Amino acid sequence: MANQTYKCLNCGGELNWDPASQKLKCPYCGSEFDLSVFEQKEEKSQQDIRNKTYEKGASAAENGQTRSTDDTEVHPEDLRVYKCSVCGAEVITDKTTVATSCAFCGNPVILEENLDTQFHPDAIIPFRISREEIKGLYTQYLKSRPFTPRDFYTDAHIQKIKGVYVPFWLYDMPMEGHLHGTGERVSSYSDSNYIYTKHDVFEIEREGTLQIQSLPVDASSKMPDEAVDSIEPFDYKDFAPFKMAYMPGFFAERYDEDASFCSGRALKRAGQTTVEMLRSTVTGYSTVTVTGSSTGVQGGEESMHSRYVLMPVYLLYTKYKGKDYLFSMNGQTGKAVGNVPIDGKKAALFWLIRFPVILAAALLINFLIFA
Amino acid sequence: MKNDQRKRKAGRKTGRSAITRCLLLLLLLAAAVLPAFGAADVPVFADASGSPAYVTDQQGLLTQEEADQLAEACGEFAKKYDCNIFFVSAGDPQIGENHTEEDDRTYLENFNEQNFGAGSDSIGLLVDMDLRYYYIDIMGDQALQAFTDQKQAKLQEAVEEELAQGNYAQAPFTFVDQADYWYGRNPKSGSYVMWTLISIGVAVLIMFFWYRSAAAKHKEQHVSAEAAAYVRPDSWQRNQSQRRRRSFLINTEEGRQIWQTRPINV
Repeated sequence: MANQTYKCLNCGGELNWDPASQKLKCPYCGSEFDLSVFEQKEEKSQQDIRNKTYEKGASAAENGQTRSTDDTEVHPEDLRVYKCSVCGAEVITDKTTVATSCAFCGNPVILEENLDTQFHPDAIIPFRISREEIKGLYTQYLKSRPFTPRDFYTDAHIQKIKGVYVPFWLYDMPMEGHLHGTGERVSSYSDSNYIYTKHDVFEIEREGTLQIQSLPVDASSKMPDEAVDSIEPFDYKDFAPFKMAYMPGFFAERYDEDASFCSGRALKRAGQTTVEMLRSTVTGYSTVTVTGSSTGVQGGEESMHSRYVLMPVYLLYTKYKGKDYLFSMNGQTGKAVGNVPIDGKKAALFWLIRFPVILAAALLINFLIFA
Repeated sequence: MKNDQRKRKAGRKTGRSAITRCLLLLLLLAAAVLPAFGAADVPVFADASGSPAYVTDQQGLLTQEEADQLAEACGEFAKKYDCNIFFVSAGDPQIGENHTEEDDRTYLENFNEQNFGAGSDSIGLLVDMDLRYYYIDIMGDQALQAFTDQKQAKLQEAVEEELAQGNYAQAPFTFVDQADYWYGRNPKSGSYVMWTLISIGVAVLIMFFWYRSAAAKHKEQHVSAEAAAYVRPDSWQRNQSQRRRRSFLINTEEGRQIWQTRPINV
C-alpha cells in the first residue's frame, strides 16, 4: 500500500486539492494547508519513485478481474490492481492512471508507479475551476444549446463530470518554410480605338523562419484530440513544478504516446501556420496562385524540444441513444466545448413554435404588399 | 258629319304616323351617322377600326409615337390581366362648353361603357386640360376587387404627381405602369400566388438556417489545424523575391467584342 495520500493534520481525513484556495483542503473539518506543509512528504515520495519502492500494480487479468473500479474504459489486459492505502480495498484501474479514487471509501489514490522517472511530468497547471463552479458553468453551457435532452441537466449527470490531469507534450521548434506561387497584376488604359489591359505575371518566392513555442499535443491515446484541442489555450503562467499534492481529488493520466509519436501532429500544425504566415506576405496582386510549399524544422527534428506536462481538463463522457458524447472544459480557464446530442422532441418543438410565427409574418408582409 | 269628322281624324292620324315614321327614320339615321362623326374626332385607335380605344388623345397631349407606345403598353396590360386600360384626353369641344367635373366623370364612364361594354373589367384615365381636372374610372368586378381604395389612392397619387409637375405626356404612362404594379399585387393574380409560395419558401429557409445555427452549437469540438497562438513574438523572419515571368496585352475594341492577345517581351 505504497500509493500516496495526504492526511489532514487536524482530523486525519484525506485532503483534496482545492482549486478555489489553491491549497489542500480537508472535506471533513475544512482545514486548509499550504503545499509547503507537505514538502517533506513530497520529497519522501520522490525518493520512493527514485528508489522504485512504490507499490507495483499486479495484472488484473491474471487475478481474474475484468472491470475497473473507476469507470476507466480500457482493455482488461491493461488493468492493474492496487490497494487503497485508506481502506485496503482493491483499486482496479488502467495502467496509465496516475490518480484516481477508491470506489469503496472515495478517498484519493495516487499511483506512484505511473510517476516513475520517465513518466515524471516536468510541470503541472493545477485546477483553478472548482467542482462548485463546474455545475453553474456546465448548466450555463447547456442552456445555450437549445436541444439538449432533459437528462443532461440532472444533478446525477453533472456529478459524473471528472476532473482529469491530461498529459501533454509541449513542443518548441524552430520552423522554416518555403512557398512558391504566381501572382498577377492587371492594369488598364485606353485610347480612342482600344482598351488595353496589361497583365503582368510574377513568379513569387517566399522563405521564412519562425519559432514555435510550447505547442501542446495531448499524449494520451484515450483522449480525443478534438476534445482537448478545442479548449486551448492554457495560460502557461500558471505552470508550477510538478507535485503530487495537486492531484488528490482529481484523476490523472500518464502519457502512453511518447514525444516522437506525437511530434507528427505538432509538425503538421506548425507547418500549417508557417505556410499561412508566408502566404500572408504575398500582397499587392490581383490574383495569387500558390503552386507549392514546404515546411520543416530548422536543423532537422533533432532541434525539436519537448516537455512533458499535465494540464487540467474537466471531462464528461455520456452515452445517449447508443452514441458517445464528450464534453470538455479547460480546468484552468473554464472554456467549455462539447458535443451535445439533439433531442428530437425539442427540435420538433422548436419548429412547431417558431415556424408558424415566421410563416405568418412572411404571409402577412406578402399580403400587406399586395393588399 | 260624323263621317267627316272620322275622315279628318283618320287624316290627322295618317299625318301623325308619317311624322312618327319620319322621326324614327331620322333617329335611325342619326344613330347610324352620329357615332361615325364622333369617331372622326378620335384621332387614334378609333372604334371604327375595330381595335379597342386604348388611347383617345383629343387634346394633343401625346405625339403619335407616344400614343403608339402607350397603346402598346395598354394592349400588353389588357392581355396580361384580361382587363382593359385606356387613356382619354378631352375638353370643351368633346364634353361641352362650360362643362363641370361631374360632366367629366359622366363622359369617362360613358366612354368606358361604350367602348369596352358595360360591366367588363376596365380602368380608364381622363385628363381634361380645360378644367385642369383628371378622373380615373374603374369598372368590372375583377378590376374593382383588384384596385382597392388604397391602391386607387396610390394610383391617383402617382398620376397627380406627374400632372402637377406638368408631365402631361408622362402621366398616362405612369398610370399604366402603376396600374400594372398594383394589379400585379392583386391577391387573385398569378404573381400573388407566386409571391405567396416565395414567402413560404423564405419562411422555411429562415427556419432552416435558424435551426442549423442552433444545432451547430451542439457539435463544437474540432481538431486544431494550426498553431498561430504559439508563435514566439518577434521570431518571424522572412526573405522574399518576385520575378516577372511574362506580360501580355489584351486589346478590346469597344462594342465589337474583338479580343487580341499580344505578348510583351520582358
